[in-house]
Amino acid sequence: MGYLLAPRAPPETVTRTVPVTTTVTQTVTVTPTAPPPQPVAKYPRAKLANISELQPKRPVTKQYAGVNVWVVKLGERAVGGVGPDGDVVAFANLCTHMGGPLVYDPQTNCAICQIHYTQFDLARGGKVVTGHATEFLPQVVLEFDERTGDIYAVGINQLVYGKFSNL
Amino acid sequence: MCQFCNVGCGYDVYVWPAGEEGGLKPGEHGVVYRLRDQVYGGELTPQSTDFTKLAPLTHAQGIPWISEAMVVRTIRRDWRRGRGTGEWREVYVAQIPSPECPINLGDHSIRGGTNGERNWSPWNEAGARRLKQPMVRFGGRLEAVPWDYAIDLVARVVKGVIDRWGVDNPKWGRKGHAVFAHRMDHGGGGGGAMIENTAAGLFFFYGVRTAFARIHNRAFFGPEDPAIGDAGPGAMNNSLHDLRLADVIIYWGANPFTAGTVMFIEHALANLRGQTAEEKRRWFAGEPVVDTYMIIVDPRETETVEAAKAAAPDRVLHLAPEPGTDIVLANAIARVIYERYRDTVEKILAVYRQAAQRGFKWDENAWRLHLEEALEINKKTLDQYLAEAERITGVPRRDIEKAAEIIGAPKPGGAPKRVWLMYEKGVIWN
Repeated sequence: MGYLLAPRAPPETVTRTVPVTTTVTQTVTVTPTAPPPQPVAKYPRAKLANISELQPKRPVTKQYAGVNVWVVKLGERAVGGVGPDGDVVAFANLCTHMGGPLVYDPQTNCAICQIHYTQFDLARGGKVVTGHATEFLPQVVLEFDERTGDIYAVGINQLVYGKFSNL
Repeated sequence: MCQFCNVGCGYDVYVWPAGEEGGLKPGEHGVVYRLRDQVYGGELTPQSTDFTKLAPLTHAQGIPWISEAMVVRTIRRDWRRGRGTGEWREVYVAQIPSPECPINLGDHSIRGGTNGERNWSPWNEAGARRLKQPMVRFGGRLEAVPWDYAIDLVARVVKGVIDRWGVDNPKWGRKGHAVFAHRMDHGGGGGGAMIENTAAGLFFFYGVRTAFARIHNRAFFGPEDPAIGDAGPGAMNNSLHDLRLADVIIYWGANPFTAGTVMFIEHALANLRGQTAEEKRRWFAGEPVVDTYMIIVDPRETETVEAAKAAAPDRVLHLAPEPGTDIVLANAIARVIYERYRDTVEKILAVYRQAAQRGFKWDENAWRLHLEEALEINKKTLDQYLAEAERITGVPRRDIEKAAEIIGAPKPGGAPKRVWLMYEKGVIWN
């Protein structure tokens, strides 16, 4: 088989085409849809715990807005952490993969699911370290009252497993 | 079917116009499961799913949680006069792991769970930056070019290489093979989106005339032919169902927790934890159900090893040979089985020889050579053989013997163990 890809000899004249960059705007007509839904409820502001009852690296289970949450003092400065050391965090304690139970590992400050072993880093916003969850572990937004040492929950930053609306 | 890895999980796709989501209660939405499964014995009775209160693992009962990664807001034509016609409409597309699929049973991996949000959408970043024109770098900057230009450019480059360094060049002759082609021939979607090698083969072998073309996982452009072919069965002779029913699971050079996730977390772990005992009793009536063992051969302590050990700490054996010494390890285990569990060996041989009478391939000469040259039954004693294997592989002798015992020792009642072996890229090129 001969070479069918390109002529053997270069052409006599070489015309160099310089492409011009053009911006193509594609106009898409979309029929108007329903307006975005208004929030039907707001997150409550609820006291979760007092800092004095938290021992380092010992999660405490509390309830917030109908969700089981862990409050834990991690011992390292954490994303979303409150308190004098910025290390008190709270997370929903259901794995976002298939809702399995989480176990806290003090050495890595991670939560590890016992069904399929997905691992979340509690010091880094519940990021998935390894495993199968496509969503971070939902983190409770906290406020800390320095006078009393009370830790308040004021919201959850994403959908908890099993819910289509947190509230 | 999922677009990612080799396992091939099933996904249900739902498309609905924005604003018509419906509700969570049965009958308020369009998600319907109806399954009566003869193989696993599963039955999804909910005809229309109740999403109001989801407990963990309810995907197995036909109520999967639909996470945000499974849904995308995008646009689609309204198909008024058939596919792809009509006005653009805002729609939602959901790709939900299917509880009806026997591969994943509603489970997903970290890749598959994002199938939904990876659909093209003008509102997500990937969609907005989607390439529509080929691009060429001019002066360090990528510029869009027409298709004709791009094809002509590639053709000129390939032709230039052929002219300078190809087989026909008198200065190079047969030694001239400067084109090295690595062709990705299959990938996601359950084992192959495209194993079409004809056109690529014609291009590389007739057009470019290079001998150096290979497929993704081997050094040449052809099919695999593992030695197991000498014993009759081809390489891919079992299904995920066999994995659920096995007594011994062996992963050799494979890391399924990471790379073939759902096969491992849904089926292998279920077997390891004893959750498939009822299925085993149904399929193998009369055979006792024993505790499942797992052997993982990998020089690294992978996530598969850690997860398996977390699930069954005393029934998982991890062998970590020196890289490249897997053949020595395999032969050492084989030699111990041959010496100590001869009954098992004879039973398996009888099956192969019988099958050979019905047209399956069985190479008696290869078997003899295996015993004499590979296992060296007449040249070295078992002690000598194991000592050498331990020295070469670094795997302690007692672990080799333990592996052989796990595989070779019969179950109570005398039936040999049902052993499921998966070997993958970690060992394919040993």
